[in-house]
Amino acid sequence: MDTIISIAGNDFAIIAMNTSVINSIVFVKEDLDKFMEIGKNKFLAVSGYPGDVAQFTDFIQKTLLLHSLRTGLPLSTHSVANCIRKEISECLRKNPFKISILLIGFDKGVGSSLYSVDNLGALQRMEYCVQGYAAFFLFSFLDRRYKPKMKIEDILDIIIQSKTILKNRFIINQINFLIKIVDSKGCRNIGII
Amino acid sequence: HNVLPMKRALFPWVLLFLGSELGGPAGSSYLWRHQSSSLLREAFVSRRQAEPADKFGLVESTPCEDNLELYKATNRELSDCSWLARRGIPNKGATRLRGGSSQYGTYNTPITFFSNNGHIAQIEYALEAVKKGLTVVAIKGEHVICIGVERRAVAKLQDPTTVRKLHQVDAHIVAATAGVAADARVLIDQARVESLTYRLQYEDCPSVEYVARYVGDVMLQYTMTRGTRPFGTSVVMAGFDQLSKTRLRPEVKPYPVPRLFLVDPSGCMVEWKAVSIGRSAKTINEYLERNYPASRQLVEGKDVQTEERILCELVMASMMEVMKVRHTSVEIATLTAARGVRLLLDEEVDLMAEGIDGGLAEGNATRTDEDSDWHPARAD
Repeated sequence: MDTIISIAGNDFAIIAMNTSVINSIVFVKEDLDKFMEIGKNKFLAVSGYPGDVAQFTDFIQKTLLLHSLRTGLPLSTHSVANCIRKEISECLRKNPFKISILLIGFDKGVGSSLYSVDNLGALQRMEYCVQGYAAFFLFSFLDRRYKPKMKIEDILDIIIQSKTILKNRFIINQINFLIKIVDSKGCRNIGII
Repeated sequence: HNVLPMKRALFPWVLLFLGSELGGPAGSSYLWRHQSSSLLREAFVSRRQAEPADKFGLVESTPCEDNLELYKATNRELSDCSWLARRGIPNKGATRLRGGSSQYGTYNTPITFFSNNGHIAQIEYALEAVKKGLTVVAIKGEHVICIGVERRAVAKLQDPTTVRKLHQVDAHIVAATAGVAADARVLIDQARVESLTYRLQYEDCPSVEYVARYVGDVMLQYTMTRGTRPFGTSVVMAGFDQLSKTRLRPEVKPYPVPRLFLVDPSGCMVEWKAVSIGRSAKTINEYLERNYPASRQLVEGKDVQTEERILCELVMASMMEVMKVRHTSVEIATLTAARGVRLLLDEEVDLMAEGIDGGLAEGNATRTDEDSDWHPARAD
């Protein structure tokens, strides 16, 4: 089960996702970048059943690209989140389908935003979020440590400590976390922890 | 049976007389039973010649029931009869369509029939519609493609930014259209969807040829379907392909190669080195034939920016053959593999135009401002 941790600052948002791919008891790959860039200023992280993840991510990315080609206009993070929510709801009501997503983005008037859609299709804008089994371990930690308008260094510190907590208490060893940031300059990598 | 030889001389005349007199099923079947088939055929032929020539098109059929009986009786091939006649229902005063029919009447007949000297009129008329559209010139170099489009003089209350002739089909493909603007919009949308479907399926960008061929297929479908008309636009597709080695193409460049395709209303897709469509296309094509080889020599070995400038100048020079080139009348775009599409700024266009013609960017201004009154249905 993939772990996604994300915290939104004032005018930036940071997201961290594990880079390992696991199939039953085997590490298939240890260093996979599972993020999808949408537009110039949005990151989409998807976790769930591997086939559904791959199909849904590609489909959403190409659909949004088609939209931008047709209209020549970029979509806001809010619109993209709602579009994704609608697609997930429709897929859920057709076949067995399990994915959950975290979307972070930066828009000019709004600042940074973080949207979470869980595997039942519930959309929520949040300030910090954890998805996966790690949520059981980390939400309480983040509740205590999060303050509004944090700096990048504090947020990265929280994420490093989150990884330590998981290493201590979570039986699945998710080897590395890839951290990315979205701000007014666009999408960037921060690093791997 | 010794009666027959005496009556034989009368039969052809008797048949006609009796046929019109008796007129009912009993009469004709009596005649049929007692005649040889050759006589009957003769009579039938002579009666048929009385009908007007119905080789092409609609025929008013006579509301005559014994006609129908004769048809049935001779077991005649019924492909020329109407749907009704085949079912034994008299077709009183209705028109009869040649070459197949349908209960839906005339809506299902394709208008793109071949004429007797091999032309399809509707497609040729569609090409005429394209010739009424505004000019598009596209030229490809070694690393750059340059496209120039003529700008419409919009009506005073219109916003010029919504009148687009250059469309981005994909990240690496740009299209320019001439002809009916609404048709262009639909085709470009289909091209976009197809290009992204390809990307979704293969995680790789489609070649320009693939997208152009798809657009050609769409256009062809509409020339062969009932109830539709051909598209009234030609599409110029420009983009870059990383070509791979094949038996027929053993030498490939290590960098993405520019490609230029023209798709016309017949669905025909052809690759060009330099092409022009729309009005005055003929003049511009001739100019390009004369001057394109020289530009290829100039461009050899130069860097991308110089090549851009040379090709833009050639595009502008070719447009100057037929109109004034200014930033208000012309829009120029360059396409490179590294930086994608770049529209030239107004000042650049004006400066380059002045430079070409030595300050007098008039050219052979043969066109007047006749299209200042814009109508939605007009060619664009």
